[in-house]
Formats: sequence, C-alpha cells, structure tokens
Amino acid sequence: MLVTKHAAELCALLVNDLYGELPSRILIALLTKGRSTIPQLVQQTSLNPRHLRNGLGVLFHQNLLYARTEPGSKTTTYEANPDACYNLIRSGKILEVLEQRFGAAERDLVQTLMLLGHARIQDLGQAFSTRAPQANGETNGTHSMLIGSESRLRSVLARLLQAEIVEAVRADTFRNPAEVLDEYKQEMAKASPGDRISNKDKIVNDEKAAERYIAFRDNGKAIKRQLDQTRGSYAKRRKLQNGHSTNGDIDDDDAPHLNPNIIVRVNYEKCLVELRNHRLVAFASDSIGETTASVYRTLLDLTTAHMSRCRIDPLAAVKEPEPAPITVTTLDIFDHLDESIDVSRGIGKVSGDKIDTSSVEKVKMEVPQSDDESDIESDDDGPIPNGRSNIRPRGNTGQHNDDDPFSESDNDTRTNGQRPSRVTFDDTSTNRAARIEQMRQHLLLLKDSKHRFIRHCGTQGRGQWTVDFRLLMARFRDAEMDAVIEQSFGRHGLRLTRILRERGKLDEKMLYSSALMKKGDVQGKMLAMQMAGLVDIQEVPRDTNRLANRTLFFWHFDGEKTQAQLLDDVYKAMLRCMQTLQVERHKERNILSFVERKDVQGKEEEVMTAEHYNKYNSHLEVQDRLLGQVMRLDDMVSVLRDF
Amino acid sequence: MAPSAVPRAAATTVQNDSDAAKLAVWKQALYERVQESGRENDAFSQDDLIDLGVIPNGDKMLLIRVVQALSDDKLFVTMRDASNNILWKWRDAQEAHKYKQLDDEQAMVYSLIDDSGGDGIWSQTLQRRLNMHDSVLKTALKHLQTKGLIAPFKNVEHPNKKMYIKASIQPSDRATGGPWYTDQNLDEAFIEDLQRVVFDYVKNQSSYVSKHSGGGRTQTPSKGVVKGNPDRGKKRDAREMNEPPAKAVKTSAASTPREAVLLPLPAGYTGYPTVRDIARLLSASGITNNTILSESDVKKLVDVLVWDNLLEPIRVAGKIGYRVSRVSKQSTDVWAGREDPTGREGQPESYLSPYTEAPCGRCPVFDLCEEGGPVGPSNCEYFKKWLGME
Repeated sequence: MLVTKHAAELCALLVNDLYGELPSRILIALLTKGRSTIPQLVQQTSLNPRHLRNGLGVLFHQNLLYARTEPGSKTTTYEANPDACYNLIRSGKILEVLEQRFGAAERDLVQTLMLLGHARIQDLGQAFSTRAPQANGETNGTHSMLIGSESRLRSVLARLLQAEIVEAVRADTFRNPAEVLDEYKQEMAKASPGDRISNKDKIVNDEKAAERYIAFRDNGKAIKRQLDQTRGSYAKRRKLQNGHSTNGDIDDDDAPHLNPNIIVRVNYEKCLVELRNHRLVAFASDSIGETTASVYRTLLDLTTAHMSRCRIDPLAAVKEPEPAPITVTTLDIFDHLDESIDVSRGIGKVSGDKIDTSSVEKVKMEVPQSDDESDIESDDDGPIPNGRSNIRPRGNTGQHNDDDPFSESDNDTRTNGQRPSRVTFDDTSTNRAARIEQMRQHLLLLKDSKHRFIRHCGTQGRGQWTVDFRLLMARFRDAEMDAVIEQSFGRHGLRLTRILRERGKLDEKMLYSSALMKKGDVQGKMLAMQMAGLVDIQEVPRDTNRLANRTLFFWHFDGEKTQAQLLDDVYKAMLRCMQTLQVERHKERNILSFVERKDVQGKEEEVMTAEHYNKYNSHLEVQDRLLGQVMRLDDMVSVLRDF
Repeated sequence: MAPSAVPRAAATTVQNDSDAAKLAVWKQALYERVQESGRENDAFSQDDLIDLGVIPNGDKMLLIRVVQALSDDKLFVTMRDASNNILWKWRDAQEAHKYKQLDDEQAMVYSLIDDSGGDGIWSQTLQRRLNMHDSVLKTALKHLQTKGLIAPFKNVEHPNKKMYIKASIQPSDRATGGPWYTDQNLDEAFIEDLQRVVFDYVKNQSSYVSKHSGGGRTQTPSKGVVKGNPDRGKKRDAREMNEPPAKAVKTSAASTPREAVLLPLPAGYTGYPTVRDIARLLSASGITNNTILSESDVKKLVDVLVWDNLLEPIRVAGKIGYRVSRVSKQSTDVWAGREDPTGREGQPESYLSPYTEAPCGRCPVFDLCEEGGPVGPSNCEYFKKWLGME
C-alpha cells in the first residue's frame, strides 16, 4: 500500500477511533518517520517510555505493526503496517460476508479474533466457554448456531483454518515481508562466490530468494495442510455437506485435535478474496441481473475456494507464475447452486431461431492477452463443442407457440432452456435437466457480457468455466473510473476520455469530429479535465523553430495516473467523512457520554428526555449515513487497489 | 467546341485558310479523343497524346501546334508533374468558355478557385499564391462574383476565414461538415435527439420487457430499515443535496408494486440491431427529413453512444450488433421527445459512483479542504446540507 498523506491520516484516525489516542499518535510517528526504535519514538512522540510501550503493545497485539529484532543487537525496530490499519475499516464487511458464506458460529469466532488481534487456541477455548451460557441465555433457541463447547470451537476453527480465513501466527509473521525478501536476497548474494555477480547469477539468486520467501510466507498454512490431510480438503467437505444449510449441521464428533498452543489470527488476504466475490456479484447484478448474479456467486465461490490472495504477491512475482485459472464445470456449479434460486427468471425469451448456437458456444481456451474488445473484431471460429449443440435450446416453439419474441407469457417456464416436457421420463430428472439448461443460460449471459465475467474454456461436464480475474478487475476499475468521470464531467467528458483511451493520442480536430461535439465545447471540457489532471497535452514541433502554429498538439489520457489520483481522493473523502463524524460526536458529547453509562445502555428511551432522545436518534442517523458512505468508498478503494 | 476560337488561333499559328481548317479538324479530333479516353482528371503527356493516334505519323511539330491551339482556347490545361515533365489536362468546353471571358488576373484567380474544388479556398491563400496586389485581387474577385462564377462561403473547419468556391458546385462534406451541420454550425439538438431515438430503438430491440417481477427479488437489507426513497434508483439531482434526507420508510419486498422491468436476452441472440438496421430505421422514420444519413454517419452516432457507455457492441454470428448497457437497470420509458428541460426523465441509468454521491466527490474546494484550513470538516457547509442539519 502506497501511503499518501491522506492514507496515513486515515489509518491514524481509524486506530484512534478503535484503540484510542495513544496508539494513534505512535502510529502517526511511525508512518511519517518510518522504521524506528523505542528511543527514537520517545523523541518523536514526546511520550514517556512506559506509555510508549503500552501503545506499542496495543498496536502489536492488533497486528498493526511490523517488528524486527536484529539478531546481533538487542534493539527492536518498529514499522507501521498500513495495510493492516486500513483493513480495520473492513471488519464489518468481512464479518457479514463470512456469515453468509460460512455461518453464524464462524462469524462469531472471527469477530472474537478481530477483537483480540491474535490469540492462542487455548485462550479462545476459555473465552468461549465463559461466554457460552450467557450467549445461550440471550439467544434462546439458536444456541446450536453458536459455539458452545470446546469441540465445537475446534471444528469451527478447523473449518476456518482450512478455508485460510484464519492463519497461524509465528514470531516472524510480524516482520515486513519486503524486508524478509531483501534479507534473503542479501544472503544469496553473500553466498555466491566472487566479487562481481553476473546478471544471470542475479536472476538465479532472485529466484531462489523468492522461493525462500514463498516458503516463509506459506509457513502459516502448514496447519491447513495438516488439516487437509487428516480431514479431507475443504472443497470436498463442502460438497458432501451440500444440500443442507451450511451451518448447524456439523457433527461435533469430528472435531480435529488442534495444538492448543498455536496462535491464530485473521488472514485478511483471504478475506479480501471473499469480499471481492461479493463485490463482483454486486457488479454482475448491476450490469446483468440478480438471478444471473446469484449463479455467478456460486461459480465464484467454487473458483476461489483455493485462491489465497486476490493479486499475485508482487514480492514473489519472479518465482510465482500467474496461477493456472481454476475451472469449474456446469454440473459442479449446478450441484452447489442454492435450490431456492429460480433460474428460470431473469432472462428474456426469444424464439429459438434467433439464437446463434455456434457463436454462443464458442470455447476460448487461452487467456485473452489484451484487454480491448478484441473478440469483437476477431472472428476466429473456435471449436464448436459437438454433442452439446443438440442439447442447446431449440427454442420454446414447441411449448409456447409465440412468434413474437417479446410477447409475455404468463407461465413461469418461459425461459429458453425449456424443452417440451417429456412425459415418459420421471419428473425429477426432466426438471433437473431443464434447470441445468436454464442455469447454463445465465452462465452464457455472463460470458457474453462486455465485462466478460467468465470465460467458457472447455466442454467437459457440460461446459467448463473460468474467471480471468486480472482482466475482469481491470475492466471493473475502468467502470468505476468511468462513473466518476461521468458524474464529474458529464456524459461529454466521459465520451472524450473514452475516445482517447480507445484511440490513444489525438489531435483536437479528430477529437471533436469523432465526438460530434462543438469545437468550443470540446476545448472547454478538455481544459476542465486537464485542470483536474485527467488528460494532458503533448506538443510535437513540426520543425526546429517550435512556433505555436508549427506545432502539433495531442491530447492524451493517463488511466493509471487518474486511478492513482482517484484513489487518493477517495482516501481523502473517507477521511473527511470520519472527521465529520468526529466533529458530530464532539458536538453531541454530552448526550453520548450519558448514553455510554451502564445504567442507561439498552433503555435509552425510558431514561432520556424526549428532546435528548430525539437528538440522540438523529445523531445515530448521521453516524449511519457517514459510516455507510465510508463503507461504500471502501468498496471503491478495494476495487482500485486490492482486488 | 468553340468555333469562334478558330480564327484567332489560326491567325497566330498558320498562314493560310486550308491549314487553319485542317488544324481545326485535328484540334476537334484530339479533344474528342482525349475526352473519350480518360476521366476528367487524367493528365496526358506528349507520348500519351501521340499514342492516341490522332496526329498522323506521330508528327511532333504538328502536335505542338494543335496543343498550343487547344491551350489558347483554354480547352487544355498545361501542368508539370513531379519530375518536371509537361502534361496536359482537358477542360470542359463550357468551363473553357468562362475562362475566355476573363482577363488574365481574373483567369488566374478563377483557376485557383477552380482547382480547390469543393473544399473552397481562403482569400489569403489566393493572395499568397498569386502574389498579386491586394486591390487587384479584390477587383478580380468582385468581378468574378458579379459574373456569378464564384461564391463566398463558410467552411466549418475554418469558420472565421473568408473562403471562395466555384458557384456551380456544392461544397464538399468536409467543408460543410456533413449531415451534422446546419448552416455551418454543428446541430447539437439534432444530434442529441437522434441519439435518443437510436438509444430507445436499441433498448427496445435488445431487451425483454417483463411484467412479472422478472428481475428476481428486490434487494432489501437483512436488517434495519430502508431509508430514503424506495423507488428504483433515479439519478438524483444536485439540488437534492440541499434537501434533508427523506424520512425513514419501512418497506418490505411484498409491498413494492411490480413494475415492468427489462431483462437481458439470452446469449447468442441474433436480433441485436446492427448499424445498418439503425440506419434503415432512421431513414424509414423520416426524422431526418431532408438530411440523408449514410451508414458511416450512423456508425459515428452509434460510436458516440458506445463511448458514452450507453450501448455496447456485441458480436453474434459474425456481425456486430448493439445492445443497451446495464439492461436491467434501464427504465422502460422512452428517452426521445421529452420536453422537460432537465432531460432526466427516461434518461439512461448509468452506474453511480459512491465517491461523487457524497459531498467530497463534487466539492469545488476539495483541494483546499484541510482540518484547520479555511475550509475543513469542522466547518463544511456541504456536509451539513448532506446530513440534513440545516
């Protein structure tokens, strides 16, 4: 994470909000001054060492620091971990996504872990055993959802460990990964003989270092591997449990034995993968429709089950190739699809002869290299899966006799996949076949979208599908950027930047003739966007005199720069929301401190006067609004930076 | 042919009448041959002319005389190519007649204007090329204008330059800007309306109107109440920033009325309108009453809609069709022909960014905003309005 001024302030503010002023002050010092030792920090923060150690303790416990003790000397240096600080803001979102994906017990456990930062398994067990009766009392009747026993805890924890949501902590987890890699590189350089190192050696060394780094990084997953061996992999178990609701059905007997001294914490990298799925589903729902999005959700859950991180770790990039895309088959998706989803909805109905089967079923084995709409231009006829096309919808002409593709029929079996029901077969199998076909329609729709949500990459199991995350996210980022440009500079501004993106650098004349806009309007728009740093002008002199009338002027649009700028602006907007919230809290501090009293909590309405109660309520509304906005801005940050 | 030209040409080149008569015949023959053999702007070298076989025995002296005579009659135009060879082009007899009415200066001016064709020529360019005195040029131009040979006109690419064009021809598309220009001005209202028509058409052709709640369940938060307007997300006016937030309204999925929604069509649908379909619709509908839109013009229009993220191209069965973006979010209303000045009704719904919805995203002083500065979170007017605290 590149720490800009606003990002640093935001991190400090978040820590301040959650853990108080002391850690926040230390964090600011660490962010501004970089790696420091305790004496240095004493000087920078003017705190006394005892306070400082307390504050560092809090930060350390919440994993917000990188720390390193040089083996020779006994001094320890501390460094801020801005990514971890920023992730604090996502806690709520992560918990919500985890509850949806896994269940209430898992959510509860992760929430506890988030509060504690990191914890020993034994301590967790104690924490839950003391909490259990209380939880039972409060949520009567739903106690099976929560963690009541030691074995239950272990099985829940094992699930999370296997899903990589939770990882084990070791002493060197608190080291800055970049630093670790550097150290390995230095060791490699030392080990190699001779004074001068050739380029080739250097590459080999770098690769070796990266290899060691990957081993170091994946150390925390050793326990997951162990569990996978003893219990069978997570995906397999999930498959076995399919059909039941995902929670509450775990037999506590198979709780694995976990070393009680292992320390665990939340693995945010994997949580981000889950968040990304969530976001992509929302995106698909926005651009296609909800039913399609729920099919997409199932597909994403399957493809990302073994994905540890959203992007390739840049530190290990030399050794770690882009992972082979994970493919799933239509049947797999179908088996995992929530049965309550009515896949017959969400797609319009047309008669079968208006569907071009061959272009729909085109299989693309290779990851497309470029990001443009190349396959709009190219017309390579990929292999048409045979044996498939005869199952493809021949249309509903048999059943509904409608010639008008846009007519409305009132029965619900109006999807294209519907074939005339065959009475000779038993009902369930026909239903199943029809449902699969209907679901396939949604998959094809996802494939055909301009965002290319998925790629049709094979024909086994009634079609294999994969997601090219890198390209997809690039398009997603563009969509976010487009939305901001459109709302800041209007439809015309968007049009001009899109022309520049598509065609590269352009002369002004070309610009207004293709945009169908007045010259003056184009100039005004371009100037406004230049002021905002979106577009820039390049001068190309036609001769050595560099006279203005002998110079060509080209407009160009720098997408990367714009994204970086936008990201910082979003940090700033988030910061301002949080600060406004603080201002509001300060204004209402009397009421708020009253509400915080133990004897008031829970019965505010009875205790407070009507006037105060109303004020309190409107403050809560303001807070909801501001925090909601921060969460939405965080969605943008995730898309622009993390996914 | 211009028979009146014969005596004058004859007087300068040949002595006796029979020679003159022969020359006239050859002239006629050569001119006709040249006219038949090539298109208007083909140039002929000496060899080309001899190869035509009009001049007996390839007699070069005779050829020179004939060509000279034709040039005098303004029927041939002499020119040089890159390697300095002399070439001739033929000119229409009627045109030649016009030239003969003119004196030298006027002929020079006229020939330049003639050469510039449909694009016209700038008066300054004329002056620079001819190196004439200003007043001479002006009188020549005036003379030509009164004779009705040239006309002043405006070129859309250089609206401030005084341009001249031959009176007998129409300005080229480049000079008028094609169908998008009316009276040398970009007709934005026309373009905007056409865009709406195209958008509506493509939207209709690329979506399926479902009157069931076809889009699936309405998304409601699992807990809490829905605040604000429960209607489908209308793009909000900037003025709404000033209004206090709407009162909390409790909604349940069941109570929301079922509106007609648009659904995407199945993958591989071949009926997405192509540029040709759209062009056909526009010409059939007669909206463009006296302007004719070619397919490439319509392509331009559609491209713009694609750049605006309103339409997206899709390739099915080897042809590129267009469909509407974010189909399920679009309203079923038509966009075209709306009278309301804001143009918001029926407007395409585009993806809203959370950043620009809150005050910071469109704050005019965002760059200055700093805690402790002249504007900052503690005294932000926009946040106050947005939070409804005024």
